Amino acid sequence: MLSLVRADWLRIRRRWDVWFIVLGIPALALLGYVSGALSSGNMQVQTSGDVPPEFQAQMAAQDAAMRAYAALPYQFPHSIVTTLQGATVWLILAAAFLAASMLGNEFGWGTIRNVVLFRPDRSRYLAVRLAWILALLCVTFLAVAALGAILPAIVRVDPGDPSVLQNVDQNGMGFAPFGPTSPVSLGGALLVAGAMLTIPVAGLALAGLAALKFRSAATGMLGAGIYAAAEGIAAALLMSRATGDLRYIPQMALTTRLAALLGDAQQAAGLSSAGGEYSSPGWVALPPAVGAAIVAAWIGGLIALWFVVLRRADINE
Amino acid sequence: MDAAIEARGLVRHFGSVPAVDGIDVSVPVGSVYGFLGPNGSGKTTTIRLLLGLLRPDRGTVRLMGGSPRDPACLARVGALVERPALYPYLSARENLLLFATLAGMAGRDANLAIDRALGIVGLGAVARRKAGGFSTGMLQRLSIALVLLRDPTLVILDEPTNGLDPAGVVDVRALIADLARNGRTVFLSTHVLTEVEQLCDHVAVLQRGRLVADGLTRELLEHGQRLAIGFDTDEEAARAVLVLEEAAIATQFVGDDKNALRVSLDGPGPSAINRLLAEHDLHPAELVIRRASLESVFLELTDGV
Repeated sequence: MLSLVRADWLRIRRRWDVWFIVLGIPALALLGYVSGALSSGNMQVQTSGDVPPEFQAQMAAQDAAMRAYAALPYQFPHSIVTTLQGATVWLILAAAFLAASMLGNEFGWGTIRNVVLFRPDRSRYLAVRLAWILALLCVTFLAVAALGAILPAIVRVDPGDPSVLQNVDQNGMGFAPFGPTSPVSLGGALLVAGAMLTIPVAGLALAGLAALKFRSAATGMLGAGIYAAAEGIAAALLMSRATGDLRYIPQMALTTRLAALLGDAQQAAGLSSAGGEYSSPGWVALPPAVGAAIVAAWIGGLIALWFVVLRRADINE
Repeated sequence: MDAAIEARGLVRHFGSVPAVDGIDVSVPVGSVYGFLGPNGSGKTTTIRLLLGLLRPDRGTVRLMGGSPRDPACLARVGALVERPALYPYLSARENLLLFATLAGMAGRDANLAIDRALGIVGLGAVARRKAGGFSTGMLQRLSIALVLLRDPTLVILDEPTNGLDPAGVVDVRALIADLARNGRTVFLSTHVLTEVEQLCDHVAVLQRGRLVADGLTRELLEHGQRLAIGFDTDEEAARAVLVLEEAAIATQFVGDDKNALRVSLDGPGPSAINRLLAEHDLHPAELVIRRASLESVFLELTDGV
């Protein structure tokens, strides 16, 4: 097993595209965070003409609340979630690319044939490759999260007086839906980060399966994207039409469950209020643990299919 | 173990098309076994089946006495299948190091094996260049180095001289001869008939997924031998045809020439045929054994495909 790990390292260390991802995504997250943090203090209540004195105090309170609200995402530990949110799309694309290219290219180059001739135990080879892909994704994810933890100490954003958020008229602030009104706990931020990690992992599982099935990195990426889009549309359509027990069918969809898992985690962390975007007439709220179990079953099932596909595959390359 | 490769009743379809249709292969240990067949006859599919890269629909394969999916058996096999397959972003040396590592070699052992393999194929000087920048011939050489990395007992080569310049072709042929001299078993699939004639002591010919010939190269060539008989007159030749056909000896005129015959030597030998003709007062002006070339035997067996 160790020789497989070492052999994969010999491959990975020379792949510039892998390091471009591992280093590039934290760099993008850094840029996003810094630009967001620097512009967060620009918010102010706009007025035109003379403001009657009786409203000036109220406006000052609104202004302080807006500034405190805008500063919240840049305070530790909320900043961890902020950087991860900024990098979510990149992380999904990176995970899909890593899985699709590290599996699909073996078929494209025909090197899978040499690998199988040198190590006929295909499952072990695939297990090691999966471990490497997950490790690279986790390193990238943790680097982004670590930036989120460190940056508040470097790029300081005045938190103002968070207590004013408790006493302010939320509707009058011009933000809808209204987010957290108090700092997030470290546990809450980590819970949301964990939920966010499942999204690129699911992308990795989908793209890897498509790459193995279609034996191409490009088709792996494309296949995963098409599946996710088609499933999302089908689930939304079903949710708007289904009645009775049929309403549970779209709830089982991977994309639905990933969105719900993230929503549940944000709600638990106090980053969003109950209901929110899941107010579709066909929406059925599942207990968070059940939702998480469905996501785990999806990811586990997709990865198990990797092994089935490769073990049964004819190597024509 | 008498056979390095033993396959029985191998069948493999792609859709409804039988790519390999019930072939038996037995490659004796220490032999150089030529595997011939026209394009699309199923040679590469057979090799993939032998190596466990494809699953047969029916039939069994024993490779070095074991299953082709047994790591211990595969460790004794070096195989070059079709086009070279290497990591373009790794150097020649790193490619070999990667597979040496996969094979469980490490440190000094791996370095020695890599140096030896690169030296044999003449790539020592470009060992640190990326494989992505190699010419087709260099890639082929590097693939052969990969085959030799584990110092295999059985070497399976599918078109090994493809893409090589004349000097490279000579080198690879010398290498195959050298492997055979050192007691290795070589299974050589090729289109180059002279290669088989020069190197192989056994030969099998595949046609539309079936073996149409399998045996010693010498015997196959003898089987293709013909007796060329020339007479002074067309009338003598015509009488000779009647006599020989009466004795169930296959005979045919050579082209438009009415006094020249070609006679199969599958039955009676040249002296018996000569005696038979003399008994009928037929005295050939010329009687010559024409040795068959592998090319003519191959074309005959494969209907000129």
